[in-house]
Amino acid sequence: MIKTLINQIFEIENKLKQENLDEKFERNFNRIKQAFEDEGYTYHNPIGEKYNETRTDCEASISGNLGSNLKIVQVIKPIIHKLVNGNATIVQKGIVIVENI
Amino acid sequence: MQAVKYGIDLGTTNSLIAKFDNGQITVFKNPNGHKETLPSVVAFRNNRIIIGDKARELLQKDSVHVFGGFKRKMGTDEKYYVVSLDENVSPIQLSSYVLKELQNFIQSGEICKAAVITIPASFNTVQSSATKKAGEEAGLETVYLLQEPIAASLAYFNNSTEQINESGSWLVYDLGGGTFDVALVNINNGELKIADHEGNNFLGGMDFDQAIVEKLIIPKIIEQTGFEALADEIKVKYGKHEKLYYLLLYIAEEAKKNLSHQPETDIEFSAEIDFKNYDFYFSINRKDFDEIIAPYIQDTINFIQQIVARNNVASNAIQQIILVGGSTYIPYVREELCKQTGIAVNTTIDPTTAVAVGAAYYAANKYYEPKDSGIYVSNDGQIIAYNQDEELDFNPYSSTKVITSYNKTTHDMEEVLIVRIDGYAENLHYRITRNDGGYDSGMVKAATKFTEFLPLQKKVANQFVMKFFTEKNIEIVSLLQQIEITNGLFSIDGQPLPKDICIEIDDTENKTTKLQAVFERNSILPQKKNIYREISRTITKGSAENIVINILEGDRNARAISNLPIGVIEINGKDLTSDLLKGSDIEIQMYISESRELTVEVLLVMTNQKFKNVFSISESTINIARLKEQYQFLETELNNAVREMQFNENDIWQIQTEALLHNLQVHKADIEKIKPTDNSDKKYYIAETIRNISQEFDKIGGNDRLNSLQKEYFDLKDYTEEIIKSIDHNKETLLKRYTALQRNEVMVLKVKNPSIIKNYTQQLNELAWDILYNTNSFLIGKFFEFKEYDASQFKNYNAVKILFTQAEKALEKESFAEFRDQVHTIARLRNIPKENYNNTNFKGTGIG
Repeated sequence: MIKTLINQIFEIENKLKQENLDEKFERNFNRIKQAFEDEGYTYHNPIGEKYNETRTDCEASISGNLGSNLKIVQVIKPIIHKLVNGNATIVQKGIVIVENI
Repeated sequence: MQAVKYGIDLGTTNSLIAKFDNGQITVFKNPNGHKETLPSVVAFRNNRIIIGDKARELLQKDSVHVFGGFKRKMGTDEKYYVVSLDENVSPIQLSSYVLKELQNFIQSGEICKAAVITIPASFNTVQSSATKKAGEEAGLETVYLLQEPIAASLAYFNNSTEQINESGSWLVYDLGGGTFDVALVNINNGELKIADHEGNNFLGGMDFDQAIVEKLIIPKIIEQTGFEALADEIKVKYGKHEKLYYLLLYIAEEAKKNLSHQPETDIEFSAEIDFKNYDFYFSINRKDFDEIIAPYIQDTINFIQQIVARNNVASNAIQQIILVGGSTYIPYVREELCKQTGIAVNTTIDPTTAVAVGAAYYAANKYYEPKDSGIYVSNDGQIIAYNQDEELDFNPYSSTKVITSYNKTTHDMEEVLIVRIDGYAENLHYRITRNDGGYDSGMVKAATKFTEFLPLQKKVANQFVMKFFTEKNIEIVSLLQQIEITNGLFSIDGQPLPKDICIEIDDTENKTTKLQAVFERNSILPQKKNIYREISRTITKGSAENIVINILEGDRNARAISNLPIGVIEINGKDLTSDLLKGSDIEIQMYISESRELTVEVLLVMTNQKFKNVFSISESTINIARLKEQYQFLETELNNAVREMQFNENDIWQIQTEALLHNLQVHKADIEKIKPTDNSDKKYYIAETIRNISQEFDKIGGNDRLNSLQKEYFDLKDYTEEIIKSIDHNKETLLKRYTALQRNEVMVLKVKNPSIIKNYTQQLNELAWDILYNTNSFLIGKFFEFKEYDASQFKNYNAVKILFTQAEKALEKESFAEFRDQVHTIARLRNIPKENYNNTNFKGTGIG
């Protein structure tokens, strides 16, 4: 249930970013993130990060030619961690599209 | 002899491993992916061997280094050239990599030395032998083979609660992600045999995903954008719409899953098409989906009809169709099978795991003779596993040493790990994984010196495990390395906080205040945090009422009064643009810089007002009203403690506490007189005195007092646990309260602060009383005790007399809920002497 909520919040955040409205809601999103954190959940948007086959925190589709400088260019779902006994564990892998930049 | 126990479904698209243990089957999950399935794909990239999901990602883009679908080539002389190894690998070797990886799913430390591996019904003797060889190359000493439809039938047999006929026929229909098989299974006096089979190696769920994209989603995009060329352009490999194609494939797969359990699903996405941004939102329903997959399903049904005709079996002679493979979740598949064949469809087994589960059941009754186990136990009891080689009659890695070098703390997002292996290192492979599941190096052949770049997560202690394996995938446990690299938390660049920084919040239930840690001791500066709380009492616009954000430095577990106030923000009724209601939100953002300058920003969400203040920790700030209240709290606490110590005859502690009380009361007149506008140093002096006295009070009695308080707590806990068993009313609420209280027990006892333990015991004591007042036997006893009291002991004895009569009647009728209410009211009407200090005037901070 919490994963579904996080995915929806993530989508809303991205849509607002596209419309340049995200700053207006920054405080609300911080509050929501804090509430998730209180429940042990954190999420991360890996957009723009380097990608290679050792990254097991994402499920990737590779667009274009495979090269040595892969970057995450689109994030369909974020990476979700849950704190279990003080240790963070991935409970949802990011769903991403990567491209050689 | 030992039972084999392990069953492996070595599939064309996906593979699984399961184990039979004490009548239960466990299907193992990939430790790095939460999934039971492992894609049967192997990649050789930069000296790494990657197996499974990560390899599948590369399959379409790197056909030179990545291999899938090799099961279809088992038993042929086909070879795949691997550039990084500069050698040809066979389908047998590739299958053995998949089998080795499946063995890594077993995280219990147990080594899988024998297994049942399933093969398609179509496999001939050469293909079967090749599968067996793959198992042996993966380190399995003994391999049994089992046909997939038989495995699925066994899963059904063992799962069924109904009586199964000893003789008859059924079909096993296996529609997976990329392949389709159907087999006619005959059962004769309990013996299963495959009579016939058919299949298509290129038909499965992935075709359905593509059909959703092409036939349901693309037309909607064209309808909205008018971009007709998309239908053709999106199919172009490496084309400009490739990113969109992958997005749509993902959406299609999700939609397909949703339509298996709901009649309609929403499709929603944003995309850039022809340099314009579009938002798409539409629904697709099950009927649309059924129409596009109908031709594929018809093909599979045609295969069934061919088998039935070829074997001269009447449809009504076939008892059922057992479904296997993820695509059989689709309702249309189930409906059409039933409708067109007239045969009952059996959906009782999990179609994804059925073959592996059946293989594990089979393995439970297969035995093998373990070879020289090659298991060595070291002096400290650790198991060192090593599969003895013919040329080696000892463990060659017994004196091998692994020396690692890396920065334990860093601000970088990746850190280099340098590894040196001293001693024998031939045929040694390593694999590094991050404990959160976000990194896996894959299996890499170890040189005597090598480096790895380890990616890190921000601001956490990243834990990695480096394991070493022999060529046959046996782990050398003695070489295991635990690596911890902390990102951003500790560094010589930032200075750590010497004490906790907290805010004071109200504990309205106990009419006192408590601390909430904002920045913990030893956090590295700078730090930023948001605190979200509620207003605990209504502040009317224009009134003199206020809320106090009191920021303190010290120990978060001590009482507020023992800590040093370093900043305070007062928000007065006169500052408000409208009334601030109890329960409305307050957001406090705190930032502490590297030079320990504290910035506090407060937002009252209801009035949408912001208040900001910057404090330097070199000067403390004091709120007079809070100081007065804190003085009263401490005075009351010391008075109570003196009384209690007197009662317990702890003379020395009593004398010490009385001395502290005396020192405190010396300042009573001053504190009563001091005004909020006072600019002198007096308030700092008094605050300092109160703080010292509070800290000194906690030290009285040392460990003896702590032990005595802890014993008192544990005695009360035992008593509470005893009486909790016989609660008659409000059981759920009271149990919840008890559980909530117990959650803090460890923390409270760890703190070793007498005041905190005492306060905690008091809370438990109140709960114990509430439990008793909800227990019939206690209520009855109490009722008769009250009846013995004379009139002076009650506030309104006439009312009490009426209540006595009503309670007696309720008791006679055994109407206990009513009886309890009467006793509660009588108890409330008792004359109870007032406490020395009454907390009903508690004002607190206004922040709850």
